[in-house]
Amino acid sequence: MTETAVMSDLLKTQLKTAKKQNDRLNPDQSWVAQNRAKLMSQINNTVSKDKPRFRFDYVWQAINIFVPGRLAYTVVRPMAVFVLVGAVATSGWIASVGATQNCLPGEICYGVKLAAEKTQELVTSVAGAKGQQAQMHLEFATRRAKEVKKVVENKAVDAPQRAAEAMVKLEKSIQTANEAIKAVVEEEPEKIVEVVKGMQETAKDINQTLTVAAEQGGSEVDVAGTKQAVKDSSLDIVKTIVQKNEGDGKNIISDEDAKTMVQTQIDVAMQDTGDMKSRAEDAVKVLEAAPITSNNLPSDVVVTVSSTILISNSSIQVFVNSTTPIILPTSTIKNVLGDVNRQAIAQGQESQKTLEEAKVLVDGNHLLEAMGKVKDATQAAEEAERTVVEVKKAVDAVSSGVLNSQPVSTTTAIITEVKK
Amino acid sequence: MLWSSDAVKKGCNIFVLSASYIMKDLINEKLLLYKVRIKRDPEAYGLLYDLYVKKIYRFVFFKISSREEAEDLTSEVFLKAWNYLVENSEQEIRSFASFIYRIARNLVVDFYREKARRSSELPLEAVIEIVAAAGAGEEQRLEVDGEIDEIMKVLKKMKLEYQEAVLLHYIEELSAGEVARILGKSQISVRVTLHRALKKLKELLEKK
Repeated sequence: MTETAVMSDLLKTQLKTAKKQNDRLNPDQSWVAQNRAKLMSQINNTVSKDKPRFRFDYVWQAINIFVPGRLAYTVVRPMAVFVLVGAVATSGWIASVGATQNCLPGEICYGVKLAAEKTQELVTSVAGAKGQQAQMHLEFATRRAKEVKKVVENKAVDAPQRAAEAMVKLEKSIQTANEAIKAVVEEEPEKIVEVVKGMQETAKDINQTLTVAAEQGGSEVDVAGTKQAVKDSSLDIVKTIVQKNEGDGKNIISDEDAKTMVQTQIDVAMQDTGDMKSRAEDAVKVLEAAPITSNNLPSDVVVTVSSTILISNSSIQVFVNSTTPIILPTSTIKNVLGDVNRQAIAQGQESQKTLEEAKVLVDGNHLLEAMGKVKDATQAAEEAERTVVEVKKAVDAVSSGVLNSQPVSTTTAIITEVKK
Repeated sequence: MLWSSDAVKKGCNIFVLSASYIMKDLINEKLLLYKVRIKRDPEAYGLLYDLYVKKIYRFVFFKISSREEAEDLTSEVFLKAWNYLVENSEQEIRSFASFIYRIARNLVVDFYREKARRSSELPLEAVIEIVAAAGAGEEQRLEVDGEIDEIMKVLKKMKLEYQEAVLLHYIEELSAGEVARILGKSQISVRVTLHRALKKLKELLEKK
């Protein structure tokens, strides 16, 4: 053995024994005991009396105790998923679905939950009832929306990614439900009224759930696209039914039912537009209440304009590709955001007017035209909604003073984004 | 040199015995972690505390060099870890050791960041430098005595990356894999760091 190697070994041994030989490195024994007692008392206060509910990933955690790490992840885990899927497929639905119902995207048991749904889908498709299939997919879509909300509530680091995963699946379920409902129109028209009623209620629930999730999740959880997909699907189905009812003169549903369906779409759109307007009005109030000069909100904010942006005060100014930092008074930024928000409110009012016109058309039995108006109003309200979301982000930044401490590029991004 | 069958047998026995002890400890630790996460069992957490309190204290004290502050931070580490474990029972935690050391490491950085913020607004790089240099001028607190203290004194003068790797691997005897998880690096990178750190430590000691 070389001298260097001997010295290395000696040094390693000395390092190894350092913790035993140097008392100053170790904690005082009385502190260790006192701190333990204090910790126990603190954590005992946080323990809830409710017994935690069983979840499939607890099985995985139990397996993980006895199986070495790498082996567990490369061999046992895939096997465990396989066995669980098999168990779900072969055992009773109540027990299996009950055990996986709390699983969320990103968890090991989530795959099992989806596999359980796939099996259910297979069984239902073999049975052949289209109405039942449609209802099942609507139920799946509702579950996905609830998952988005739960994932956001849990505040995991990767919550936006998990929420996005659930939303992709939600949109897929809605699309499948849409196809199944269209099949009901053709094959089981006697059931369509009931199925559409369920669809409209589901769409309403999903939109409400996603709105709550977006409020809790902040700017990182973007639900707008999914909400739009759900609304579009609902509109598409009702329009298809109305078209079919009016088209060949052979009613598949009664005029009264058709009117009710269209009326429900109008009511839902009216409610959504009203909610959007309220949010925009709240944002304007928050913005107006934000102090222009305070310790955390300076009178001026430096903005580097890297792309074309429109700054609207009383008139509109255009800065084109300026690379020079521009000093914008905070009051100007507030005015810009306020103006954009007020435009969104005006757009919402316009949508409400269009929906009122649709109501008149429904009264006159012009259902197809009424549906056209509902679609226009919904699209306009959706655009306004997107603007309100962007403005809200900027309003939050201005009112909390974050705007000042954010990197300049972010500030620019906010303004650029708002103007889109 | 000829190996007698008895010597081989004895060697094998020692190896099997120590491996079985290590496995037993590991299983015991995982079992305690399972009880904490699934059953929210405070007693199990108390046993994990017993296993780790000295290690975490040493880790924190080495970086902070103040007994009171190290005690406060160590208490905070264990409370924070409990809250995380019971509130996020669905999140996978492969090793309690790397989990608790990561919390300790983050709290030490927060501690210096807060300290720096109070004195003046310092960039993160400066905070890292402060953490690395912490105690370098206060090593007298460690009551220099003998060779071991000399090693610790020199170790404190090395860069933060080397300090952490040596402390966790050679002093606390964590595996390279666990050190990698704590420091957020690959195992190969940790091995390279350890090799360089040991070399540097030897050089500095030889100069003394």
